[in-house]
Amino acid sequence: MGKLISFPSMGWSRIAFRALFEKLPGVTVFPPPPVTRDVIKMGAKVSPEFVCFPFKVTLGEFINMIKNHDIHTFVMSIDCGPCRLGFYAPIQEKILKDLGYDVEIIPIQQDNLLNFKWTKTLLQLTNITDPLMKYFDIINCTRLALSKMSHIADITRLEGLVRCREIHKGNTTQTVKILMDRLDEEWDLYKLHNFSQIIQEEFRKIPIKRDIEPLRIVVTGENHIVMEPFVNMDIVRKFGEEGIEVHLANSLYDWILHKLHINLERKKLERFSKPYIPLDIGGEAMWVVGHYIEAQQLGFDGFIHLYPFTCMPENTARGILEGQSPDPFYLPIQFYSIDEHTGYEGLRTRLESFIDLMKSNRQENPRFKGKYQEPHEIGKIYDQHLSKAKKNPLFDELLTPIANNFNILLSEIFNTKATEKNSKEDSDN
Amino acid sequence: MVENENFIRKLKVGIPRALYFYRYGPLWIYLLRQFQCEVVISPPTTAKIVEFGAKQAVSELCVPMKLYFGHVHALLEENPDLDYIFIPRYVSIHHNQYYCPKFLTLPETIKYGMKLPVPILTLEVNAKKQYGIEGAINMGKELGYSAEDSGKTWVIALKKFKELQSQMNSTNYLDILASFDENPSHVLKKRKFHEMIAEKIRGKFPLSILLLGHPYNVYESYINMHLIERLKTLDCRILTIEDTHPEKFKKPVKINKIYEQYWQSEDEILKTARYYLTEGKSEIDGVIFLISFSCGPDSLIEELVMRDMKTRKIPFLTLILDEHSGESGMVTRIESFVDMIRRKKYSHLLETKSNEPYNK
Repeated sequence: MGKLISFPSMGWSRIAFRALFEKLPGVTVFPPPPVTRDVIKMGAKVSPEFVCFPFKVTLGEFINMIKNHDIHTFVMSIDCGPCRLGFYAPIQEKILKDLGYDVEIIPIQQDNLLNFKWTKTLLQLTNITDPLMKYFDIINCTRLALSKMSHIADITRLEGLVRCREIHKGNTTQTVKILMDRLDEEWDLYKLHNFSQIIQEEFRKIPIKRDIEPLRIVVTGENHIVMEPFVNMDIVRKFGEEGIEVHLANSLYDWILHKLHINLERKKLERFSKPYIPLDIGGEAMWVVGHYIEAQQLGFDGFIHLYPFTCMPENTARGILEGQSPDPFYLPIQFYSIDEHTGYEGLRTRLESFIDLMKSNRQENPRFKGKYQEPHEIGKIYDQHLSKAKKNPLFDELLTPIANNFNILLSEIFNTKATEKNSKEDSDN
Repeated sequence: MVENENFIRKLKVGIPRALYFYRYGPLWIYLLRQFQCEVVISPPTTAKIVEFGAKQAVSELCVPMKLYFGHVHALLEENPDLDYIFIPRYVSIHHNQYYCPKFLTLPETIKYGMKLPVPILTLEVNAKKQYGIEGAINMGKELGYSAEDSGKTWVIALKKFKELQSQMNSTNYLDILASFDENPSHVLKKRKFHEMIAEKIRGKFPLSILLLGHPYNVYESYINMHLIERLKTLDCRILTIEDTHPEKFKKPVKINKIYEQYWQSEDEILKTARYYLTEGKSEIDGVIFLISFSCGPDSLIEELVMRDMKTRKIPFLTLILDEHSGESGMVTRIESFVDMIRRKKYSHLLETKSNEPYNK
């Protein structure tokens, strides 16, 4: 039994965070309990008056875990950007110590992942002294975490796309829960590598309507608010149940790739938003404007911007988006400023009226008529001829041309192995 | 020659009297005058400006930002023949430090937030781009000057500004700023407040109070409801960031062992607070921190300063400024705060008297 640590959950991202620390020798991870109303209340009570909402939520989670689960070491990310995130860890530690708790918050630097300052945190946590073996463990943990992150991103994206098409209500929610639980328990790197197949298989089990043309919206905004379903009142599910195809733009994997400077998607968005926000001002401001312009070009029906109350960068983005509408920004947009007083009913009425607006736009406005395109992920899952070949999503485009030459040979080898395995499993059962 | 000069029309550049005008305003004016521009400044804040700003800007922005919208509008209304509006972009003046995110995109926020009819002239001050020289060169290019000339102009303006800054303190700050404004209608009307302390004891029980906060909160007398004058009628001596010796600003502030703070705009507040918490503790009796509502950096910095003041047992009051806040609520809070400190400071006099029998 090593050092007992925990971290704030941030929705499903807790699976990836757990993967980062679980296999580290000398560390025992306590998976954070889900956020509830009480947790938020605990945090909001002791935090400064108009600090942003993620601060209150994460502080509440810390207090909850100290009080109810007796954990005294936490890992919290810090940043060096102009936004408030960098100040979270030191001030939360100060507040908790003033409340009389014996607590240690270990910061993990995420400002630029290529300078490898974040490995210091992991080195600090292990109890292995041999310098080489330390790095071996760190590489292993990072691989696990990255792999899980990418699958979480896939699942949450598919969730938004599939829910509007399901025939039996609640199927998608169930599937997502099953998949996430399975992903959380999966520790074999080889199996994780092929987990995307499992995801596709599970989603293929959901009976859907293929021929409908639902309204499409983009949901984006501040990372924590978008990813934590309790905080944003599970807005993705609400929209999905109303029959709207949700394109969730944020994920932890996306963010980590950005911090590793290899996220070309974000680079493209930066180019879109360059005239409006020329430099990174923290938060997601740059990419929100970029997503907006891209969505308008692709003929989406609506745009949802979620952000914490008084968030500095997101408010700047909002000012620009509001100021430029209706010309040249004509895409309908709704802003949700979320803090601990946000209630569900107020959100629901706004959400429903927004849907009505989009519906009437689809019928009458030539700008939105007939622009619908089915997302390619749906085709990937439900069209049989497309779904066969794919195994590794990361190297698909690079390796398929080469692999095609050996396709017959490979398929034979794998088929024999697979049949052997299947027969073994059958006999075990 | 004199007649000829009158025929050449100078470029007319307007500066809104808001945000960092209260800190770097003289520098900008020196620079623009060196570039042979005619500088006009927006009028002091009025109720109309606040109203326009609150209507135009996003409701969650801080009050100084809303005022900026109002001032730009007032500037355009007063000078219809304006050629440029000067909106600076302050990114950083030290490495690894930034200004508040709202300053980083100020030109865009104004340009796209209110649909300006006039082009924007901007000066980027960025530590990664040679501390403003590059910005000044770009600005000179826009006005038709060579890079060499504009570089020299920047150096001259900066030198002049530093000289001026060394003369400034909390008492003459507003007068010096006002001396740059040539428009006679922009004179600040000084409101008269009656003295709150009886004439007999006036000056016998003095207090000195440290007024922390950004210059655009401390010296913006419309939004802070003439706080400095009000405190003076209560027989208090005011100290601000400008009164602190510049040597105290040299050492960087560390929040804890691992971690240095990265906000440029918060830097001077923390350094001033650090000085008065340690060496200058005997110089002050209490601290008032002015925050504008929904200010991002201040919301966390206030927490730090408050907790430090608590451990050192220095009386501390936070005043949150808003476009809706009423005057009387503010006055009662200040008065009770000052009374409390005064009673505490001179309590030894009270105790000795209370032992004696009551005469008359």
